[in-house]
Amino acid sequence: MNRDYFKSYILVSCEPSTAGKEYRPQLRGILNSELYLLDHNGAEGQFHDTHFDTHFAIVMAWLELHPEHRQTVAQKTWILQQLLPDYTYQEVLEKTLSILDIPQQEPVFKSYRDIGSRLSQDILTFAHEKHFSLKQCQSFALMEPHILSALLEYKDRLNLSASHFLELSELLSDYGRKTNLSAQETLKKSPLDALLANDSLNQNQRTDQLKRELKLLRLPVLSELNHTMTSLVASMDLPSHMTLDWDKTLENPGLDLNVKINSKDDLKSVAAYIQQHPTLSGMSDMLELQ
Amino acid sequence: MKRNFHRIQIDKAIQDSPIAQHAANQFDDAEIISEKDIIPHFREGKSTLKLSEKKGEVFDTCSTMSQKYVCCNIKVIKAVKNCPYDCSYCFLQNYLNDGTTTVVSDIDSIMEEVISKTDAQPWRLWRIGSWELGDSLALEEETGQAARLVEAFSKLPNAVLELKTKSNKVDSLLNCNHQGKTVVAWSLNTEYIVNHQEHRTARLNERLDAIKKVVEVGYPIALHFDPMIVYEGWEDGYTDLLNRIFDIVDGKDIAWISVGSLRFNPEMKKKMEINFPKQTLTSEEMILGDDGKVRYIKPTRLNLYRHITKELMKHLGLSSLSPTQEPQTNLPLFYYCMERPDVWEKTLDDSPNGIAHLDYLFARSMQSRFDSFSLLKAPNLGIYELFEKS
Repeated sequence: MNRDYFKSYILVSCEPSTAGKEYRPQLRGILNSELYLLDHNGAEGQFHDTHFDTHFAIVMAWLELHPEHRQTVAQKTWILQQLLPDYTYQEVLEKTLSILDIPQQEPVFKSYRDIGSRLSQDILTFAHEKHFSLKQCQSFALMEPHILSALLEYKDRLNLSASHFLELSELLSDYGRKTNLSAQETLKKSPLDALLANDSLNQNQRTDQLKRELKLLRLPVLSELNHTMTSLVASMDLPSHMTLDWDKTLENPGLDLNVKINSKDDLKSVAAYIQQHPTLSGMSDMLELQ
Repeated sequence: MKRNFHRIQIDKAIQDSPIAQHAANQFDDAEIISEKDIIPHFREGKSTLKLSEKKGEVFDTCSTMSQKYVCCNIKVIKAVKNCPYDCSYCFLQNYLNDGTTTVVSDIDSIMEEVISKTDAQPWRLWRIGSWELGDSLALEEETGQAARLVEAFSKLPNAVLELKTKSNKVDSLLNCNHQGKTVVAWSLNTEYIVNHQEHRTARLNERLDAIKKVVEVGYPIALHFDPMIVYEGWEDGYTDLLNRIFDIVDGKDIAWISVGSLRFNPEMKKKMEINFPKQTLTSEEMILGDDGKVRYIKPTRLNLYRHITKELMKHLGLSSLSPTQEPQTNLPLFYYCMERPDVWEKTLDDSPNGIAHLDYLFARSMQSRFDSFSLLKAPNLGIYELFEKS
């Protein structure tokens, strides 16, 4: 996101407020694509002298420019960032939040400020394009910025929905803490580099495979155990109406055997099948692994 | 001003209490306050010590209770809140709304509530800890709270106080008339973990010296190896820790031993990473457990537990640590904190049937091993189970 979002001439006139002491601008129109506030005579920069509430006017102008949809958290964050250097914390808290449909509560305001201070403009723009929620933006704000930026370089190659983006960031963060590798270095490691460059995969496939590979790096023991369990199930050569599942975290011991039985013959064949050596020993081995 | 406290506040309502007087004698700039002043950040709260009156109920059950994990059913009195120490894995970083370090100072009110509970169920042995939201002894020099609790608990027939600490602040306890009704417990970890993760706590050798002191004056002790933490060389670290402990204590001195592994709420993960950027605790192989806590994968936990139970059995001269076996003088009640029954079975070949069973086993062990509880009626498992269901 950049100042393009705000480029506009707006025409304002000075009207006394009901209190009779302050003046608030009335929006008369948007003229073109540069941000200036004009008084009703069209004179630029007069607003300071004529006690226009420029703070209010900027927000109003922005809202006028984007009537088509509700503002995203990223946009609101950006507006607040623009206002804070010129206005006090208290002024923004009291005046702007309600205009932006943000609850006038200090913790909420602090969240927006944290988001603004932690997320780069590139990430904010992306968060805006993807309509990330406040909670999602807060989660991103807790991430190390270099991880988000490294992933963003692949935004055309990956499906970076908020949940995928966060999960990938978490995985890269945890792996980086363990190995001292930056996210950029990890993504350039084999086989991740080849996977990201693979044009035969679509965005979703690349994203799923990247997550799988990162989990292998992040959870090597658990991945290996699950891989062994999967191999054991494959070795049982189960008929199509039988499936065998288990808790992939390996916390809850036990196996879930799912069987569809349509007839008495099915029942007999299932009973016989379970008692066959490969099935019994395979299941027994799986229980041992848990 | 002592230690890291910049402000000492005393609630007007309890300014005449012995604990407030104790503090006021040491801090000539203590402020008497009547308004409620909240410090939202737990770390900022560590620099303000407030002696407060008891507000509402302080008696509760340990908050780690969970149906899928076996819990010991210890009760707690919320007598302290926040802690001068700064452990990187401490759950308080993500728990307190008001981070002010607070010590509840009207012991009489606390004991009134405790006695109303313990008298209502005279058939059971109540284990009651004062460490739910802080360290039982870390503030002892400033407040003398623990010594007063020890004296008060010495008069209760069916309750045992557990003071759990990472400190060495035991001097005030040494002359107390404890009657064996207080167990002084240490949270212990390897020297490496103490030095790298348990900031500002007593160093391991200081804790061991303190253990020696309380054993010498007849207190039963408890050892909590929790959280066990994986790092390069952890096996040697825990072996060394147990060697050093059993150089100074004997199994008969130990009331109970607990073991648990690192675990935390998912929201705390980021807090830990932000508050302690250099720690790598959160990057081990972990999963989200059924109780909503992130913990090591089971194979890692089993490795930790098999190692420490083997070492414990060696030092105690026992072939099993299972708490279900008949009590023996040299057999401390061993339990896991927040572990699944299948983990108990894989490492101890046995598991309590549930929370009430483990609670009963504690009572049975204490009653048969310690003179202070030998006159209590033998605990009845059926009653423990009945009350658990109700």
